[in-house]
Amino acid sequence: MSDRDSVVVACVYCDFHAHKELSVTSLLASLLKQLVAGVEPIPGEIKKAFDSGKSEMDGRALQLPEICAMLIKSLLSLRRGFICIDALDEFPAKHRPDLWKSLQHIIDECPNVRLFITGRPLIREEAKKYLPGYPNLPSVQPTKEDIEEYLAMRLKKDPDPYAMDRESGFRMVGGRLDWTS
Amino acid sequence: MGSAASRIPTLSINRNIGNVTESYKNVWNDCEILVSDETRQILEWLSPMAPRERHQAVHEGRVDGVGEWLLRTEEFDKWHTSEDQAVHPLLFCYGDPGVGKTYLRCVKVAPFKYWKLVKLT
Repeated sequence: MSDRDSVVVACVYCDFHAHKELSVTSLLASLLKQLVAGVEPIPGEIKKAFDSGKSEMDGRALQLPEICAMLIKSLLSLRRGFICIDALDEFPAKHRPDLWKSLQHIIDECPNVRLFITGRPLIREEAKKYLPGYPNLPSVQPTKEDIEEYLAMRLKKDPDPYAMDRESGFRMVGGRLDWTS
Repeated sequence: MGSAASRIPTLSINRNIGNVTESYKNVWNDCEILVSDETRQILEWLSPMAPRERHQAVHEGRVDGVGEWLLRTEEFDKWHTSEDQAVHPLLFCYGDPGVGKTYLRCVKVAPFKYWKLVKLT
């Protein structure tokens, strides 16, 4: 499997409500699944692991080191791989150090990979701690215009716009949206 | 994403893939890929998680123009295009819940445009 002109994006959305199914292994397996979904036939080592898992009573799933190795191999076959993780703060805190270690391993091995992570500000400190050795961590913050555009769209679609108290309204306070009456 | 990106072409990666009962909709790479039953089973075995459904919901709920500012920042430009190994491989977007982080996009054009499907027969 090699396509040096390919650019592939793989995304994972973290959610507090899905804590039970979120682990380092499940997150990286989800990324691997997305990367190999466009490859036919599926890489031989993955097929082999699947066949051998099938022959066992419990249908053994891939373990973290295997997933990591296959992920790195898949990413290195691309020109560029983008890994997006949304709401990392909603990934279980007890597993986050291990996730950061795996991500560091991946970016160390794959210079063609870019990570895009969103989360609450505390994740920024974690990123600095767990991904040392790089200059300033580039970080950005959404603008209030995004919220205004979204609200304008929702209000436009409001089936009963006159129900709103015109004396009240939304105000941006310290980067957050507050309802004032 | 823009109109070009919302187009979801259907591609057959390899015509000799045997029985095809289901397509694999690879929505974030903006293409729909037909896969064999066996490949589908392997993909499900690899991960039962289905983030593509969530991605599709985010994609459909995204207001045009939201997050476009990101693509014009110097941080994004460096991170996205630079081949320089000294560039930080992580771009972090932070903010409190509800400010729109989930609706940002981190690629300028649909990655599909870059796909060179060498196995297309």
